[in-house]
Amino acid sequence: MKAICWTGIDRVSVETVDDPAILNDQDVILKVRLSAACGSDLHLLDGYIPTMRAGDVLGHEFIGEVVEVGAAVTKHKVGDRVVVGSFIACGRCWYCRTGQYSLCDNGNPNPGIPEALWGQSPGGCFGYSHALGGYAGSHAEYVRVPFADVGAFTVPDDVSDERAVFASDAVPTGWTGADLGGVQPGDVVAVWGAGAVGQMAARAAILMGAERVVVIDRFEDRLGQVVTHVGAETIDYSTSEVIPTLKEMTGGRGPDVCIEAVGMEAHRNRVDGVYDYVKQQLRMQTGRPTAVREAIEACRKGGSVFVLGVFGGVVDKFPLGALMNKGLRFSGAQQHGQRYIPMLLERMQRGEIVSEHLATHVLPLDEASHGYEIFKHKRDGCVRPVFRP
Amino acid sequence: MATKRTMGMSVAAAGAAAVVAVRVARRGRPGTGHGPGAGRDPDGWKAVTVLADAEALRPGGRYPEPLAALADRLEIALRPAGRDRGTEVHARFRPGEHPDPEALRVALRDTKSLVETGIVQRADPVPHGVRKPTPFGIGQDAIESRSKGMGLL
Repeated sequence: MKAICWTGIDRVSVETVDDPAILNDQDVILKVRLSAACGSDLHLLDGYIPTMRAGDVLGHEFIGEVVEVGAAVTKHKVGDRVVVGSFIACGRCWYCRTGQYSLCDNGNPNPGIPEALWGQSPGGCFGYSHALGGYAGSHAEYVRVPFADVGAFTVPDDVSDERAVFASDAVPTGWTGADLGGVQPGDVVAVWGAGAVGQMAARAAILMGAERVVVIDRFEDRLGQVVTHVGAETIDYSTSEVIPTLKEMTGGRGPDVCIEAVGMEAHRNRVDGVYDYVKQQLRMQTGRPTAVREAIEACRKGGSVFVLGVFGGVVDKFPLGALMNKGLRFSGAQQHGQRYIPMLLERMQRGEIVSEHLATHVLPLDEASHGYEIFKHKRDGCVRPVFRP
Repeated sequence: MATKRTMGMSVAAAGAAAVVAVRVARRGRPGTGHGPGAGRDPDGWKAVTVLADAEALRPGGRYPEPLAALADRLEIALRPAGRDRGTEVHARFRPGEHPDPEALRVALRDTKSLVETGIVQRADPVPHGVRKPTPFGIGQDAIESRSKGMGLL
């Protein structure tokens, strides 16, 4: 089959690879209908995730049609149109039973690697390094889905592929941030990053009853999407000072919940942005936490800061003093998609969540290089390239 | 310029990967540290918590195969885990037995997975594109093939 492979820093190629096979009786094989590139893929392309291997198939956000079913699968049959959570989780360990699916104990066949990095192993993930299991990704004609009864969800007929594909990752990731960040009715919520995850975190906060939701970015087209499709307010940090603006918007308090949806390659037109960039290029830190710092600084006393953006290692100049003295709650997570996806599909069906506008460029697999190029450099209004095999 | 940057990043990424590899290898190297615990628990105990009751861990009085294969050489202790988290399985090699921490880690992890899910998950064989046999790639493959026996367990 044809697949988009990571071949090195800043390089992808379309190659012919083996078709996936059912490896245990809880798997299904999907014929991929759409597979979205994610902002976190750019960390792979930029070489910040160290356990990639040339030839790895990329992609972890996808929708497809079931073409083969393992003997122990009970919820799916050939022909089902399903969306799959990007994290691979067993559904039966203590973490899964308590809704913390991305922390699954049994989803990652390579637990020694993340234990060396982080002390514990999270679950596995499609197409996202050998630290997260070495699974093949979804930018391909076919993909194997382990633990299919747990991670694959039938899509209602009246929800389009272009909307439902984002129920795989961007939408549940955003929901994870708002939910675990503790958004309450009447809150003011600030979200750093107007990419797909940031937009969906903002939408989640609105649906949870937040009084005001503000999204911070510098790209006019993305901020325009926030206003049009999400219904939130915006701050353009290239023309406004973020913290004074947020203070003014909140009567001097600061936001109740601050959600960071930027990750380890944050851009910032401040001194600390330059500092972070230089240190990251020298590998003296593995991430640029510029937006995290600003979120901690901006948050009201006693508020909550939640990190949704992907970080892989260590960062510098972390404002622990502000965190402690302001009495903040600070947390983060990969998405617990299996916990939210059925509810999110219902909301998509009712039109409460729209996401198809995120798929700004629907491309064939053969245009992988072009898709990632415009995505990385934010050209041509690209929010997400989505591949249609 | 772009080539220089790419090369620099490649070197840096390779360096970062090497750090990971060294840490993984050092932490997973059998026979290091003090006593049979390979530099971890000084008495050599390793443990996992399985979301199951003790009876499910020993159906018919026998542990599941990954642990049963080593059971004659092991001391095994089962304890209830707090907050309804199941059963802690503690195991170590008996005095006089040659300790094999990697095998014990694999046995504990696989036993937990079998009891909880009925399978041991795997990714291989995995569809992939061209993988040139570079020293870095060969090293990474070697680490990955042993990764279940490594780590902090």
